[in-house]
Amino acid sequence: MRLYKKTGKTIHIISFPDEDVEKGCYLLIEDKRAGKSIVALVIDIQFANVPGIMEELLREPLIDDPKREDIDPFNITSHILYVQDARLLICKIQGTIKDDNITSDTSWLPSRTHSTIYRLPIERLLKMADISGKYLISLGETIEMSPIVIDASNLDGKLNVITGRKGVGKSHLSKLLVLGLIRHGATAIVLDLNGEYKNLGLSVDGKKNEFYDRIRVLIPSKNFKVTLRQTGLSVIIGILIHALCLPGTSAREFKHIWRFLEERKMLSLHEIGEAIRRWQCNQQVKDALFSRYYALLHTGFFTDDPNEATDFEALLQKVGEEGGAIIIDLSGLAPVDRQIVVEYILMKLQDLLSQWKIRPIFLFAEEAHLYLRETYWDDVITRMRHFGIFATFITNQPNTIKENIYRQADNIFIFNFVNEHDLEFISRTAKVDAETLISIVRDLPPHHCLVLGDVVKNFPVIVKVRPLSVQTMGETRLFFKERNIEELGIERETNLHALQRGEIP
Amino acid sequence: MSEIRDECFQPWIDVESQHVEKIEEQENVIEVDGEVLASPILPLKPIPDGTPVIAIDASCIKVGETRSGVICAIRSAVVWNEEGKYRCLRIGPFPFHITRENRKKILSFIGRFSPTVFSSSITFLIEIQSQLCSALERCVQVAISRSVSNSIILFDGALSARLSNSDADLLTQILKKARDNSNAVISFSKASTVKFLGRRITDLIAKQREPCLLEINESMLLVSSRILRLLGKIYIGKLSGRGYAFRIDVDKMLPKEVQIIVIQRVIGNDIVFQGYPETLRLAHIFSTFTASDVIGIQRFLAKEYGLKIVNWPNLRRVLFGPFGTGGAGD
Repeated sequence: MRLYKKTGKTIHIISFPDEDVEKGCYLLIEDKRAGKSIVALVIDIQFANVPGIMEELLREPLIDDPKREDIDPFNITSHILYVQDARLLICKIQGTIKDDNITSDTSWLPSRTHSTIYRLPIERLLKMADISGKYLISLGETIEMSPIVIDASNLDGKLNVITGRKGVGKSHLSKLLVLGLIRHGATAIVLDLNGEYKNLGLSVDGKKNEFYDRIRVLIPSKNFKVTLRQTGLSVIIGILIHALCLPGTSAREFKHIWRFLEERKMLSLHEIGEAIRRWQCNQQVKDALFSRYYALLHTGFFTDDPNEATDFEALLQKVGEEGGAIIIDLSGLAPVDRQIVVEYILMKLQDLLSQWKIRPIFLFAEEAHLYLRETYWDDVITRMRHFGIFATFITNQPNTIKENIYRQADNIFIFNFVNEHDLEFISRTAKVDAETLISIVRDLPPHHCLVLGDVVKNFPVIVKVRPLSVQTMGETRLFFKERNIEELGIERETNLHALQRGEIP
Repeated sequence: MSEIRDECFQPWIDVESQHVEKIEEQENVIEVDGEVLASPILPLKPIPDGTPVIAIDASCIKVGETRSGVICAIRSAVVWNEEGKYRCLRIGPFPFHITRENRKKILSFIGRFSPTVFSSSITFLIEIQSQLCSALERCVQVAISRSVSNSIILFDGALSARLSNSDADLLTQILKKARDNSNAVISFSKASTVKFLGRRITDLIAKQREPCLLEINESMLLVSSRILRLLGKIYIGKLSGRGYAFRIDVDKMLPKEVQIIVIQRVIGNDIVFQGYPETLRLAHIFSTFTASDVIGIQRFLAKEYGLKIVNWPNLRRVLFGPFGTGGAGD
């Protein structure tokens, strides 16, 4: 490999066919005279602009003899073909290695004639960058088949994004991170939009696994109900205003009603309904309150029976003792009910964390735009982070996450995208330049993601996410696949009967 | 080549200017007298009878310099057109290291295939390069004239040789062998030096709108031109209405009617683009070197003989910079 050109942070390197280089691998440009080396990431591989190649390509099809054998006693043709197959590696400088220390210095220029270029194994690079720590989570393997293990503490206090188009393995990685975190004693709350996290406690064959006792699945209105007393006025007002769009005047009347009932120790769903009916106020306010009251009532999430209610605070404290995940199954809920439940959970978490009643929480939110109100985005990445809610957003529509989230994200796991608009949107991340991101992400195969950020010490790494031995349930149901299985089953049954009847020898 | 092991060498990649024309193409000017104006212009009718057309060409290129000489490479190409299907065989590349010391050895070696070389007093290394190219081409011409039959064989250049050297004998043998195998040899000159009143003779039929032929009898040639031994009958031919006119030499020993028929067979059995046979055009294309060929040959030399690539300073450029006469004196 030879150093050809450097423009800004982009380096062009000439590589020959026998040099094994692929997109996403790292190269070390060692300038022994300068006593330091440049670390460069290969972001694209192009054909080198070999002089005369156009003439070569144009003259070949002129002859109708594909099996042409020339008389070439010195086998010079092999050398000519070798030259014609030369490649141009487009690389981005990631840092400098001097005395075995990696720095982000990119200000120097290595010698074009004296530098030697060779492949830097990603494993060695990550070892030098010291990405491992005390709380290890195995993500899978790099493109060089070396294992990649990140430190969970680099997810702690951080904002993370997992994105990629449909069916490439986003949820799978999210589950892997959830299990990795709870293995180290962390508490994770998963807002499970499609009900695909609820079997994390079961292995592929359906048996209980090591996480079984640490996974709590809460299904709102079924095994997850709360009383008004547990909820508290501030949370209820938040739900009414943000999830049910109650106007300010009506909210004020509701507060009066709540306090009135609370003073008389009569706070219940039934009594709230009665109080609204009897309350002396404007008819429009009364109508507004009634409509919201019935919306709350019909969620089935609120109950007056303390025995039926879930003590969310106690549950969090219990899970927090050993580490575990609380899966909030939102799959069966109507959009409004989803918002009510999420509003309750987030406000409750904020409340408990601010009082230091529970440990910090890792929140995993799938397609959060479907249930998270607009103002929460900023809350989550600024205010709530200080309380101890560390969010991981998972989405296949990158534009549903606000741009400032990408810019402020500490770790980004990007799976394949082919849509130009999506690529352009995610390229706004501050963790890597747009050219690198677009070039690599566009060609990622399924189950491979580009990891950026603190977990890899800002060295972009392509990772093949390892399989999980749990029931991930993220697989999409397919009509023809199911029909084939049914038909296969029927055929097998028919054959079995025929065999039993002796029709098949 | 073994003597250059571990030497230093300066690679060249100047495919535009470094192709060396063969000796045949550096022919003398042949003057034609006014009698030519009385010569009739014969119309040509294609004869598509499936006769195979075979073309041979060779080329040579300088690929580098060593302290003691130059390194060049030669390659030949044979293209067959059988019923509209083109096939090609390339012979080479063959690299040569030419120095003042090994010059005679090379000349005596290639003299077996190109007697011109053996008998001449070549001084410049660049001429040897050209001779190497001619020798390879003659060698391939010998092989083809011996191995094919009932075909039309196209050569690049002219069917002539100086009286003072014995290349004419070799060419005579090639033509005889071809005839023995029922082949007809025709040559096309891209840059003919046949002149009439100081102008190119091809201009005489340039405005003809149909394929035609102008016969040049030996009697029309001025005495000064007769230092050449002409082994072909010279025609000026325009093989397509919209194409260019070329000097065409047809084996002189063939009867005159046959000479015209074989030219018509070329039109009938080969694609004639711009008045030039496609088979010969392909042979030229496949024998010439592209820049990537040159780099590949340089790589072979470096790997096989351990040549160290260096860049010797260009003194003209160093001294005069952009005013260095455009390299004309290099």
